[in-house]
Amino acid sequence: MSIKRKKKWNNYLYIISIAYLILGLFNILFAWLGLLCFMIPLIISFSGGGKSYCNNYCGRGQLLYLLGKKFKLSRNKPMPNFMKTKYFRYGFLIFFMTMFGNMLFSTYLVFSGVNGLKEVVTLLWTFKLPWNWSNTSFVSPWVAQFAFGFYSVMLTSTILGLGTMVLYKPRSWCVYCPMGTMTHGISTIKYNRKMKNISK
Amino acid sequence: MDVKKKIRKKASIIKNKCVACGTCLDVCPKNAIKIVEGVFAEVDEDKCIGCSICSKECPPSIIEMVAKEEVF
Repeated sequence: MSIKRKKKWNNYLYIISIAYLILGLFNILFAWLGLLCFMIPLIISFSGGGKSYCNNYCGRGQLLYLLGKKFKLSRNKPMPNFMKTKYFRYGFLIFFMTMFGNMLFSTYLVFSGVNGLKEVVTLLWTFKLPWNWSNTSFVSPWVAQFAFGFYSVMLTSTILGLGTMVLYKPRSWCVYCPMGTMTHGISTIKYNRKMKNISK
Repeated sequence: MDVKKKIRKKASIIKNKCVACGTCLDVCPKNAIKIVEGVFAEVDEDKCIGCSICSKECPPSIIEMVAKEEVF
């Protein structure tokens, strides 16, 4: 059954998601734009908007749904049970943030001059792709190092998202997406507090 | 008096397992689902027509179709 709905501007945010990955291929420094995907959901969530970023504005979710549903790339099978548990979701969040912290530390090392700039994009936290066609000479090395690290994070999560999209339901990534888990956690804490205050 | 009863299926969400990703919001043809404060999704049973699209699309598969009795 197809649902015909009036399209709004925020139904096309998947274009931004694709554009981000393509821009990164041309110049790695565009990776800095990805910080928006990190900051906006947290700001919305902290200011009481719940998960409206995930629900309305997440370009990646829309992209996965488009590929899985419209292009029929997904098997549409249910996810394994362990991936739905809180332990897995928060475990993945902790792992993800540890790797993010690791990336920030290597940026710091470049900033403090201990290490030089490494022009590599690390996929799935293991595979190092040489990435030396980007001109980063006009910015300080740590800015470029952060861009390489951040692009690695974004590319890795896109690959994981695409993998689970193909294997399971289109938006399976949304279940264990670290940003989703974080905003869900924040919203849950806020909601529980509110319920406590009401019952008092 | 003869009371007509009809069994209809309605979507029912397991709230404590919902991740509030919003997939069901996008697919519901009747806009019968809303997300409560970013914590869980809730079905408006008056609007739900029991089409089970949300149940098929829900990534963690936590929307069940439950038979409900309606009195006319």
